[in-house]
Amino acid sequence: MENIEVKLWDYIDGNLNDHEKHLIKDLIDNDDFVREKYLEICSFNSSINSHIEFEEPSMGFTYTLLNKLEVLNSPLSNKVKVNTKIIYGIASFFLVSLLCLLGYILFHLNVTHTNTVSNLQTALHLNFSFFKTQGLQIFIVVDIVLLLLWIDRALHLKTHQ
Amino acid sequence: MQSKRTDEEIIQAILKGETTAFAELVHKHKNFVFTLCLRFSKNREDAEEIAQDAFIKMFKYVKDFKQQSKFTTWLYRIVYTTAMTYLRKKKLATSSLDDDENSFYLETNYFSLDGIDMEKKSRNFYINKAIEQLLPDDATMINLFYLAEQSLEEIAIVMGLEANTVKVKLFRARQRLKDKLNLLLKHEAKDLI
Repeated sequence: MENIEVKLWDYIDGNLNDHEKHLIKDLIDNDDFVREKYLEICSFNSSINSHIEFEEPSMGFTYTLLNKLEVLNSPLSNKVKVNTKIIYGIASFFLVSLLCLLGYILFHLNVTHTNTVSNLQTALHLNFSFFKTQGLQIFIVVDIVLLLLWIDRALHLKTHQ
Repeated sequence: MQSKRTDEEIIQAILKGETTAFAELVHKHKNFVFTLCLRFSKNREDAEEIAQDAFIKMFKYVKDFKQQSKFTTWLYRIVYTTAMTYLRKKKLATSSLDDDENSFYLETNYFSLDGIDMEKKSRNFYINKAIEQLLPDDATMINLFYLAEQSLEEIAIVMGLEANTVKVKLFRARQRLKDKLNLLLKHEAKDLI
């Protein structure tokens, strides 16, 4: 019963091959039950076809949508400009500064080991005399703070994306 | 006067930066997109919001549209996924025609119709009401097949299913629509359909 209905729908929708089409057409012509079912399905199908309707959104639909798009678009482009040109520029400047500073520190390091290895204590005596300059100390602290801020911002942006 | 452009021509215009082209595309498809959204939300305000979200997504990703399928199929896929996301968020309870409140609503609306085209209006009214009462997937399938005139293969793309599955589901959706109409109209259904 359900099988013949499926076939009749396929016949109406044009989903059957030629051989199947002939078989169904023969059934419709010769079997009263199938013919009645076919006419019922045809009537239902044409009824949906002719009576199904579109719904219409409100008059201001397009206007609201275009406004939303306008709002979405403008700040987005500004953000992109700041991200690429300014943020990465500042970040790379401070990164290079820090690398230079690290190189300078390593170059001037004076590492000595104590001779008392037997008591498993190794001590590092670093010569930080260059570090005592107040200006340099401030510079390093500011660099570190900015680096941390940049990392925080980069991670935040990455998470946001 | 500018002749009606095809979807592909309008998309090319959008990509070239023609700002009015998007409005043209929205105007062309808003009714069906809204109808589809209404099948999910059951309320006009939410349906408009879903439809607008879908159009915004379409605008964002239109440059990625490869034209491997019809534009409408691609658009309806966006609408369908947006609506499904909405449905998952809201977890809307689907209403039934057995619901007394619904029956009363249908009856009062039916009898408020008048004029010589009442028969046609009532047919439209009942069929569309019955579609509204279907589950979102069934209603989507009926709308895509009859209103949007999408093929089974295209519906399969929109809904992320196999074409054969769509065939079976469409058959079931039609059965359920018929059952809803029968329930709705009781003895009048046979005359109406």
